[in-house]
Amino acid sequence: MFSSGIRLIYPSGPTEAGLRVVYYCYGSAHSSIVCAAIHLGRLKEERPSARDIIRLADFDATDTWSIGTLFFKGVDDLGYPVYTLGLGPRRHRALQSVASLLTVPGFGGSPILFAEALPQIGWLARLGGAMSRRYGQVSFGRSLSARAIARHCADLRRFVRTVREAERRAAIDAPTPVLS
Amino acid sequence: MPREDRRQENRRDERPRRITFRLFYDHGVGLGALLTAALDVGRLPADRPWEEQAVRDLLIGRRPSAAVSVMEGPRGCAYWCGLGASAPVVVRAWRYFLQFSLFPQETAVFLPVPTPGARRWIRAERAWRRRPEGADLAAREAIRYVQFWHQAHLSVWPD
Repeated sequence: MFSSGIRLIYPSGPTEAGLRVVYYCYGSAHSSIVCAAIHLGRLKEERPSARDIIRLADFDATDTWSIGTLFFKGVDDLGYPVYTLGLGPRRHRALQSVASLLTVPGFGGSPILFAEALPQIGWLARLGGAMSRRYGQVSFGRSLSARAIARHCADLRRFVRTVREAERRAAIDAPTPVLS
Repeated sequence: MPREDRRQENRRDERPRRITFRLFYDHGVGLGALLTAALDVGRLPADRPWEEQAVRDLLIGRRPSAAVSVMEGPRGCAYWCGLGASAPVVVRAWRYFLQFSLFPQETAVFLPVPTPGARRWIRAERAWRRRPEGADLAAREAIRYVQFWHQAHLSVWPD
């Protein structure tokens, strides 16, 4: 399942009912935000414009120091909470460390579905994101990134559908929502 | 037992219990974190010089890892891992995920272990990572920098 950028982790110890969905990328500012918005039905248009994306309250809004912060985004129609997470430049290694903590005996809690959002957007969107968040060229970088993401929206929707499918499959083992 | 002694004994019982979940990490491959965890659980002595053979025995069969590994000893168990440059990001994320777990936040500590910047230490870490014989070099260097691990072990308190 990890080859598709989706990984379901069952915490060690007593498992609670429910499921948590975490979209992760570099800084939790662009790709994961748009994926979470699609997942939660906040970006309903089939072909959203760059302006629709910029209008998302949390688009291009995080700072570098907050990389590693887990942001709660809402509860989806299945009743499961959705989060976004930035893991920085070495995200695969960082995810390995984060996931290994969940497998410490007695950790408990509900299963967590990690979905990597960054590969779903093109290099232009990444460049725009870096210009805005890293190099301070906010207005140019933000609009470049939003326009590039709008062009990749079909790919993002396809990816979110795959995540929803994985979520439904995982929900068979975890029928009761965490929050409702 | 005289009354004063009994009072002191009671006071000792009132002391907070030991932090239950201790995870040592370093900014390298995890060798420093492993040694400090071994010190913490009593696999390596805190009150006398370390023997190279004992350190080598500890390292053989263990591989450096970004994943959390357990170290068990006479004083319980502790965890260790090497986070490299991702350490600040991972530690912040750990705290958030801990919120979902059965461990209360106050019973878990993530303890940074400083590692020497010397080239020979980095070479020792690399040797340990690459081949099993690297444990010899790593054990020699671990003893050379033993004050680092004792210092890190002194800082086991809630952050």
